[in-house]
Amino acid sequence: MDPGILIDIQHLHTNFYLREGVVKAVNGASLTIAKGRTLGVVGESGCGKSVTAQSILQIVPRPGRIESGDILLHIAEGDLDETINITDLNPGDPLMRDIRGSRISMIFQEPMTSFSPVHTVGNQLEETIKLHQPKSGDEAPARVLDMLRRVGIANPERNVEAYPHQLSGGMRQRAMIAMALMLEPSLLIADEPTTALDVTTEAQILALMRDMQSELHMAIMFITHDLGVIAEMADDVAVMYLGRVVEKAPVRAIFHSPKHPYLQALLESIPRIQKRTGARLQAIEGVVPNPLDVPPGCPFHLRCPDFMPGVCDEVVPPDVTVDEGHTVACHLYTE
Amino acid sequence: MWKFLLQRLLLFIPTFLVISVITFVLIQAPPGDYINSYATQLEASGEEASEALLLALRKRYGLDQPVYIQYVKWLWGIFTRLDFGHSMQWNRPVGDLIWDRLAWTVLISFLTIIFTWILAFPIGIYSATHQYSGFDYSFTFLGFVGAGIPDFLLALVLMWLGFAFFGLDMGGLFSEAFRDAPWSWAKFVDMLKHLWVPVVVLSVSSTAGLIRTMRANLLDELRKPYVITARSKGMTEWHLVLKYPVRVALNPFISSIAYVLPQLVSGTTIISIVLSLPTTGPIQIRSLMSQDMYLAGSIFLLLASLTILGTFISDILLAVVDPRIRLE
Repeated sequence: MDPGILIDIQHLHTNFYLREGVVKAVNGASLTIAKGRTLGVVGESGCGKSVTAQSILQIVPRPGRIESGDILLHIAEGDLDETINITDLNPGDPLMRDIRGSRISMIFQEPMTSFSPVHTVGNQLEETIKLHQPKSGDEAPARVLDMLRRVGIANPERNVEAYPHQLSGGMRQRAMIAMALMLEPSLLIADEPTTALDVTTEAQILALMRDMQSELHMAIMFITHDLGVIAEMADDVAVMYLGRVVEKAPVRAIFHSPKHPYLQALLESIPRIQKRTGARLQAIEGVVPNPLDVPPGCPFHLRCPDFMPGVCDEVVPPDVTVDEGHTVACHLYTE
Repeated sequence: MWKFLLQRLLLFIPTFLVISVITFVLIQAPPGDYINSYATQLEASGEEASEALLLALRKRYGLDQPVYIQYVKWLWGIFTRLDFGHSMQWNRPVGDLIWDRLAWTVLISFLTIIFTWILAFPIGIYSATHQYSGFDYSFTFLGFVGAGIPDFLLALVLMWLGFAFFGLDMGGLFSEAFRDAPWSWAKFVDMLKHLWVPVVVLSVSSTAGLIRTMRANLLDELRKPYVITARSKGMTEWHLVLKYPVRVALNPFISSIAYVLPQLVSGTTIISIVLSLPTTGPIQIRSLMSQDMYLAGSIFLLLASLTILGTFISDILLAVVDPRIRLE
C-alpha cells in the first residue's frame, strides 16, 4: 500500500435489510483518504456518504450491515507498520473498539443531540480518555481542560461542568470536536458538522477544524452536500451518487474540469450572482431512483443528458483515470 | 435546588386543604347519613328505630350541626391531635382502625413496586436491545397475557393451586397459629410465606405494563445520535447502553412513582377482599356502603396525601436525575 494512504476503501457494499427489501446504501464504493489531507465527500441525501463513514467505524446502525469489500487502515507509528482490514473485524471486536475514538473519531451534524443530555460535557470528554487509557487516572481532567481551551471554549473550568443544553450550538460543536480530538486521532470523520449551525458559526468551526488539522497532522473525511464548504475545506473530493463514488479528483479539478455528467449538472445547479436576474434555477432532471430498486448499469443513466442506450443501462461503468489522481466512473470516457 | 424543594413542600399545604374539602363534600354527597342507614339496618332486623333515638345519635356524632362546622371540627382534630374522628360503625376512633391497615397497605405496595422493577427493568432493557428476538417475542406475549388476566382471578387460581397441591391456606397474612401470636422469627417466616401471593398477583399486570414502557422508551433512546457518539468513542455495547440510553429512559419511570403509589393502594382493594388481607381496601368499601363518613373520609384523605407525597418524591428524584429539569 502507498505509504501516503491512511484509508483505502475497495468495493464497499453496505446493505440495510428492511421488510420492504434490501437497500444498498453503499453499493461498491471505492475511495482513498491520504494522511494529513482532507477528503471531501459530497452527494445528495441518501447517496450513502454517511453510511460509508459509519462503515469505516463499524457503527452502521441495525438493520444495516457491511456486506463485502475492504476497508484498509494503515497504521504507521515508530516501528509499527501494519495494515488492518476493518471489514474483517466484528463490530464488537476489542481491536475495533480500540480504533474507534482513538485512531479514528467522528463528529456529527447535531451537536445538541449527539451529546447525552444528562451528563456534563466534562464527564463525556473524560470518558474518551478513560476508555482508551484506563491508567490515565488523575491527569484526565487536566487534559480535558487543555483540549477545551485549544478548541476555543471560553472559561473551560466552568464549562466543563456544564450540561450540553447550557452551551450554544457553536460551543457544543467545539466541545464535540474537543471530544473527538482528545486522543489525537489520525482520521477525523466529520459528518455534516456545520449543517445545523448559522453561517458565522460555520465559518468559525471550519477555521477551527483547519487549525486543529495543521496542529495534529490528521486526515479529515469531510461529508457534506454543500459544494461551497467543499471548495473551502477539501484537498481531494469524492462525489457519490446512489451508493457509488462516481468521480474522484483534487478539489481544483472538481470545480474546473468536472467530468461526470452528474457532477457537471450539480455544479450547473449552483445559483450565481453574475447571472441575469429572473432566470430560473437550474435543476437536475428527474429524481433520485428508489434505493430499494436501483437501476442496472450506471446509477445515473435515468437522469443523464448523455445517456447511451444499450450501454449505460446495462454495464456498470468502471473507474477511468482521466488525469493524475482524477478518476471518473462514466462510459463517456471509456476507450 | 433547595428553593425548588421548599417550593414543592409549601405547595403541599394548599393541595392538602383542597383535597380535604373535596373529600368531605364527596362523602356528604349521597343522600342521608350514617343514622339513616343505621335505622334501615335496625328496621331490617325487626327492631324499631324511634325518632328520639335517632335524634340522640345525631346529636352525639355532631351530625345535627351544619356541614362546614363538621368539616372544620374534623380538620381541627386532625391537625391538633391527629384525631381522624370517630367511626360510627365500629364505634372506635378512626385512627385505631386505619394505622395498622395503612402500614400493611404501604408495605405490600412497596414490595410490589420493588418486585415489579426488579423484573421489568432487565426484561425491558433486554427486549429493547434485542428487539424482535425470540426472547422479545416471548415476553411481549407473556406481557399481554399478564396484562389481560384480571388479578382477582389470578389470586383465586393461586389460592386454589396452593390448597389443592400443597395443602396451604394462602389467604390472609398469617396462618391460624400465628394470627394473634406476638412477633417472632417463626411468625415472620410465616408472614413471608403468605406475603408473596399478593405481591406476585399485584405485580403481574404492572410488570407487564412496565416492560412495555421500558422497551418503548429505550427503543426511542437507542436511536438517538448520542448513542452513536458513544459507540464511536469505542465503548462496549452494554456499558454504553446502561450509561446513556437507559439513564435517559428512566425519567418516565421516575415520574410514574407519583401515581404508582395510590394506584397500588386502591388496586389492592379487590385482591385484599379475595385474599382477606388486613389492608385499607376492605374497610374502605364497607365504610362507603354504611356511610361511615369519618372513616371513609379519612381513608380518602390519606390516599390523596400518598399521591401528593408520591408526586413530591418523583419531583425530587427527577430533579436529581435530569439536569434539564433542575434549572427551570
